[in-house]
Amino acid sequence: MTTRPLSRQLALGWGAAALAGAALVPWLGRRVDRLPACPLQAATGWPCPACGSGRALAALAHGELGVAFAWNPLAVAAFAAFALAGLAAAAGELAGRPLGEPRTLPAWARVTLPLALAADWLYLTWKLG
Amino acid sequence: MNVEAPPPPPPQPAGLPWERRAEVGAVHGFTETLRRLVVEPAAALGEARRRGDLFSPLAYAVLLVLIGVLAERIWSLLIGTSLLDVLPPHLRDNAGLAFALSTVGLAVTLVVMPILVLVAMFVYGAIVHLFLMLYGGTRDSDTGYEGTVRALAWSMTSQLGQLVPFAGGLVAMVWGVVLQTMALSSLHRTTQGRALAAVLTPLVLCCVCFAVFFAGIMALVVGGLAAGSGGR
Repeated sequence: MTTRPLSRQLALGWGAAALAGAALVPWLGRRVDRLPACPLQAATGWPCPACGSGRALAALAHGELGVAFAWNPLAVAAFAAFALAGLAAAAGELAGRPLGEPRTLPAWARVTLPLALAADWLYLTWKLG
Repeated sequence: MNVEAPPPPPPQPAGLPWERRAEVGAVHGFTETLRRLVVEPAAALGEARRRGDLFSPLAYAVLLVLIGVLAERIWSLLIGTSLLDVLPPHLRDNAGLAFALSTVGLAVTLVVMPILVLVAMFVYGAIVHLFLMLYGGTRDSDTGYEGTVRALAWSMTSQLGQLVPFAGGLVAMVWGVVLQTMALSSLHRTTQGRALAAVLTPLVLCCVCFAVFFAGIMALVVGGLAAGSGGR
């Protein structure tokens, strides 16, 4: 797999966004109750793929990682991956060893991504449907 | 995974006026960039820099979002003020307090918003970039994830849609999809079909709720108007 180096500004900006996102979780988590309920689920009984993300955020705000994961595993995993990758990019840049980003998705990822989305939605349908 | 030596970069475009604000002035640079992205977006996006100075597009996005928030606030205020006469007296008496509280809320929003915009640009950029890679839209790109963040930042021009009363959010969303498609296509040198697919997939998957919500609101409004105008 070929990669291109991340630019310095992107790596540092990504790291800052990861830190800011993590810092905002408690603030956002306390405001989740103000969000309207999922209209798709209210109208059809079927959850949307983002269902549970707000409640996962609220659980994260209280430090309940397991509960957050149970509400929407893919959303929590994606947020963790984003934050960790951002921190790694910034740390690599500051250490003088910039990370690279793939130019294209490898074949396994092309298969895994749609499967993960489908599996997460099936789980949400079982849990919330 | 090995980091390859980067291929020789193509010539860097001159940059949008906002990116050259040191020479053209910040106010002129901002207004001219805004005008060009509204009037001739394809040509303007072709001039946007592809690397270096990531601060400029991000600062532009923050300014546009703040304009959008203020516009939405002003419309709420104007519409709220015009409705004062029809409010019951006890509600009218509390309108001042409600206005003061909403002004405090606006002040907090103006402080938190730039941080939220920065986080949103990178988070949403990561999602869109992932789908763009999935659809093969980054094969000929020399900008990578940075290009996607830049594209989304310039596309925040669509926040001007908030100036439209009542349907501002919907206008901004549709205009945003169009601008994001053009910007991704230009900055990644990919087809507009791939760029559109990368923009629409997360919207359909994650934000289908909002689409249904908007459709429901519109149906209620249209239904209410039809009921009001018909019959009697």
